[in-house]
Amino acid sequence: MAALAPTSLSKHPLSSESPTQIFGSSVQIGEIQPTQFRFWTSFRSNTGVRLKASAEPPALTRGDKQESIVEMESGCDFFDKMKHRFLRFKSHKYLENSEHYQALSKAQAPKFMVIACADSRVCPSNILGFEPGETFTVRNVANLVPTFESGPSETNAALEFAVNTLEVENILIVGHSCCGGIRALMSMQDEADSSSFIRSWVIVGKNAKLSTKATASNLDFDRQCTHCEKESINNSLLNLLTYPWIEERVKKGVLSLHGGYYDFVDCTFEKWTLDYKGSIKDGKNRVVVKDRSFWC
Amino acid sequence: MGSESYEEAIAALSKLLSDKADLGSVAAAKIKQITAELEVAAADPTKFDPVKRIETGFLHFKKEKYEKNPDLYSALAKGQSPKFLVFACSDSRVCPSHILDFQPGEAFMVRNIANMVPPYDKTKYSGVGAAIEYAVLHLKVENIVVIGHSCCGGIKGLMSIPDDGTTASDFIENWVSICAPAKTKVKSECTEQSFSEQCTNCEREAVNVSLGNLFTYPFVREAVVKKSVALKGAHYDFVNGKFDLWNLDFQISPTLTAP
Repeated sequence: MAALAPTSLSKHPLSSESPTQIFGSSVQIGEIQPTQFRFWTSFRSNTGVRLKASAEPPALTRGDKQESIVEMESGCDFFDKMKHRFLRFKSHKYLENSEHYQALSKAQAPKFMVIACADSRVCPSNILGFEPGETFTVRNVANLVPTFESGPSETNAALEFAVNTLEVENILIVGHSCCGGIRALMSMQDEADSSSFIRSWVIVGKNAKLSTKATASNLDFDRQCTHCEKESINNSLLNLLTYPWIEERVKKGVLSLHGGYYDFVDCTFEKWTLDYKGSIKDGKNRVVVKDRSFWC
Repeated sequence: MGSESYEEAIAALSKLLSDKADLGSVAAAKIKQITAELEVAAADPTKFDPVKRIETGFLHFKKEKYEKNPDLYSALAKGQSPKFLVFACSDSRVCPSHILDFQPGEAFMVRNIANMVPPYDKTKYSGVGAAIEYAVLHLKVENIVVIGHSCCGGIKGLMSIPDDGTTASDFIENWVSICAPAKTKVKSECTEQSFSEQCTNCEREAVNVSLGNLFTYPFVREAVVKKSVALKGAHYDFVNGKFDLWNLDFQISPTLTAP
């Protein structure tokens, strides 16, 4: 039985393509690891598939079919809502500002690159009111920036594109309160523990944990986490300077690096800018900041 | 009126300095500071001020959203339970909070170049793995949506990598090669199409490669088998103002038992 909840909002030639080809060709190349399951992809609802589903042995499908119908309905509801939201965006924003959107469709020239956490509560478009075209945005767990030496990753590919191709003028790293990733970092007992992806990733912020433990060990765990959330932003700012093409531009004054901290308990925002000359004097071990602001 | 006061002030200062020459260096430092401040104030008002932009944006959010929805935001301060894990491109034009109006608390969102999901690899791709693990195991999201888009620079970069595999970047080409199977498929099946049409097809095929890669994560497989997570692909075309959404369906057929 196949749970079908197709909600194609526009026709596209590719949508009606025979689905199994996708995985067919992938399997031939051997790119996708084999598992014991068979995959069916369907892009469009068609009665042919439904009928096939109901021809399956009843013992396995009857109960499951009920479940899948229920799931399909609630899935449909939410995706109907999504369709309405998109159409509302289209009529209220896209068509109202069609010149702007046509210009954007030809090229983007954002002045910012923002690195923010994937947390559902901290989207920079919401909390900082960024509009389409304004910021090239990376979102990962705990808004971390790994060093240049740590090798290819999704974050540094995005950095390379933003800095070298789009030539953004500002990089803003936004941390936030109650960050699950930072909490996981602070809770790790054994730094060599790579039993989970989360632990393998948040270890990027280990210098922030070390400096928190060194300066704030007298605070309770929650306050230590808050301290670490801010330290981690500074640690990531320093890690940005390990990228030669970033440091070069910062030195020339064509790229500024900023840190920001969003506290969603009190709804405040703190912002600071990396003082490159000051940080260099200090051997790039510690971030020296300037132009600190606090908005509430 | 302004310039008269300025001339009077300068005259008074000159008189003071002629009486007390040792104040000269102090006066010089203060005059330099005033000059710098006035330069900033006189600066081109149309020049972009990044800090002002962020400040205005935040205060607008606080006044128009946060303070008008206290119940929502105080609940969110305690915890999040988003129903979606969304993969979207870092492109400045495609934020799902705009095009799909996601509100705070609704979607755990990963944004990277060309909205790619790499296959399971703890060493190379721990960042994406961490996000999927957190969303599926801890937040228990019900839907994973991968959203591609038109005119994607990352996909164009993938399609432009020469056949001999030489790369010109430190990290970009290495990253976008995750969806090389999509490129291979498009190049072999869409030979009649222009490069730009091939790129559009690749944008969609790459979403499917990413959906397939999600299955290489055991916790995703398990959740899909249990029907606690649904996988969907999407494509936002901002040239024509269109949005497509499709399902990745999944079935376990009954096993055959030979007696």
